[in-house]
Amino acid sequence: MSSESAEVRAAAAPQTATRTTATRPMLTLIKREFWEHAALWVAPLVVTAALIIGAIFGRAYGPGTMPVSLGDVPATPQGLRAISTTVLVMFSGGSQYVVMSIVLWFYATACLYNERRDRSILFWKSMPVSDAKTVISKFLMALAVVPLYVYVVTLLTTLVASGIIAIPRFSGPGGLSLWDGGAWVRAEAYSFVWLVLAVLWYAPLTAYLLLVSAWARRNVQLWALSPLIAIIVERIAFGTHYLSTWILYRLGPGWQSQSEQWLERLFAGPFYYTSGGSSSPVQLFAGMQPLKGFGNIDLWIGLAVAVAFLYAAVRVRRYRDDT
Amino acid sequence: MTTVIEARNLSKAYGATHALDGVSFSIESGRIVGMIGPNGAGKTTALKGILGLSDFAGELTVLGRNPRTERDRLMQDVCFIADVAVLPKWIRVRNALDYVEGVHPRFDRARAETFLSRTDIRQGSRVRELSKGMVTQLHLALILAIDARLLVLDEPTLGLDLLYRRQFYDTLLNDYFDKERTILVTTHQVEEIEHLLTDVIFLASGHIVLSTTVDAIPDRYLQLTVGPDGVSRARELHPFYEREVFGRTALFYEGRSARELEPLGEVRTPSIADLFVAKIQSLDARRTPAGLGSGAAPGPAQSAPGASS
Repeated sequence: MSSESAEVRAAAAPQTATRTTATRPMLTLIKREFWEHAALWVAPLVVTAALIIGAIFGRAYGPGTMPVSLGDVPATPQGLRAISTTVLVMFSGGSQYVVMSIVLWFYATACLYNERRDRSILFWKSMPVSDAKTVISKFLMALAVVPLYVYVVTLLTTLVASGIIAIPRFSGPGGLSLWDGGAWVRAEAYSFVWLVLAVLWYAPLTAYLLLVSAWARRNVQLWALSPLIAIIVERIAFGTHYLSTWILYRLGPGWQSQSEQWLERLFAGPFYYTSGGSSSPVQLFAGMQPLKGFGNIDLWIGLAVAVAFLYAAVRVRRYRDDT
Repeated sequence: MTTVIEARNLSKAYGATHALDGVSFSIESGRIVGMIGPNGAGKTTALKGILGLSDFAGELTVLGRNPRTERDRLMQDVCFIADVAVLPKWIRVRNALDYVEGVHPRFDRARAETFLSRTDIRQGSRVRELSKGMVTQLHLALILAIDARLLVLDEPTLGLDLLYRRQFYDTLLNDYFDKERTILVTTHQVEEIEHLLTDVIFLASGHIVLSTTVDAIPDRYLQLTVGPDGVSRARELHPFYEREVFGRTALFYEGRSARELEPLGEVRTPSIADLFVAKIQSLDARRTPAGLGSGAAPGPAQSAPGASS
């Protein structure tokens, strides 16, 4: 090698060494999850399609004119609009979030398990992405990205469905419109707060499923359900139910503040309204303070537990070697 | 020339078996190193340690970093292909490019696309729709577009047909390798890569049997081929291994000069494949004095990989 070419190479070396392009690792990791787990983005759209078809049928075959009363209470157009808008939001959200919970369960148990089963972990680990970043990306999917996506899809769904329902079946003053903008904004705001609370409340469950997913050699679903087996064992062996009380509390809607039975109200929405004896649509949410849920210390303890599970999942992914 | 990999006293046990037992070696930049050994010799274990994929005892530095704790940063300068089957089946070619572009600061997408355009791979295809050879081409396209300093290949051509295997190594040499880069490769198919290698490390049962540059082999090892009547005289010079092929006997010597051997028969430098077989078999012979299936004692030739001459 001549000294001249060595010089040229030396001059070029720093440039090649620093020739890097900007990366967006977290965004890329999030996109990657949607590529692999298409159900995450498809399932909400399927539910939306079902809801909109339901709205079309409802409009086609539902009441064409204003009912005179709801139960014992004389119906006012305003009250009827408010209640139907609220029920629409709650029902759309309810369907979406039930489906989302099922999809997220399978997502969380699969996301760190599949990559080991098909050995693609060897490809992912050949990239400059830390185990912590990988695990956090999957946790963020379940904790924020998917719930937010489902929330937005649901919000748009209620707008479209409302539009369909609001089409008067008969032209003229007798046509029935069931849309109340104020009630819609209120219901959307409440369901957003509840969604945030619920997602945070279940964060330790999500993190637990990720840990199982990173750890299990096989039968990942069985391991995910192992606490339920522990409950049965506790019952039989010790005759106690501390574990089941505690687990059922964590699985239940503990995220609603204690003064509220909003779930009951939600499912009994119209009936609550009619039996409440008031014609005011605000009644449905009366006395509710969803923000109080953030004051529940158990919510925050759960988040600390979730962090511990996540840390364990990162460690397991780093050192487990079964490829 | 700088040291790329420095391993000292590397050990790893799975239960009672020692996959690696106090192995030390170092690899300089600009080399193409073949790590060669029979199944279970510890090759993959060593590679996994180097790549930060599994834990081990001992000291290991790769490009100045500790792979145990700094895998993610290390992977900016290291690429590896485990084997052909590790690209996720569900990913689309386009998304694989998106992914590497999104996480790897040294990935040159245009370069990968140029390489892919020379193949039959379409960007809309999923990996599961591609043939095994095409998956390897895709993986190679991703890797070649990364400006890395160390490339680690673990049985990269396993299960591929001859055409793809040849193409794989040709591409690697022509489009990738230069003096700033280092390639560490393990394979069963020694003959296929022996003309590429600058260094070899032979591993057996968790130990290094031989670690040498290819250039140093002729000075150290010789292969003598004699007819039946020359065998006894050839044995007096203490070959470490011998093998009978078509009625003639090939004897392998360490530390003999060609001048000593030439009067006895035909002398040449053993191929890496033959040297590998000789080294491993003589080792086995020493361990099992009964000589069961070993070539150190006169007996029928073993059919082993590389037993071609």
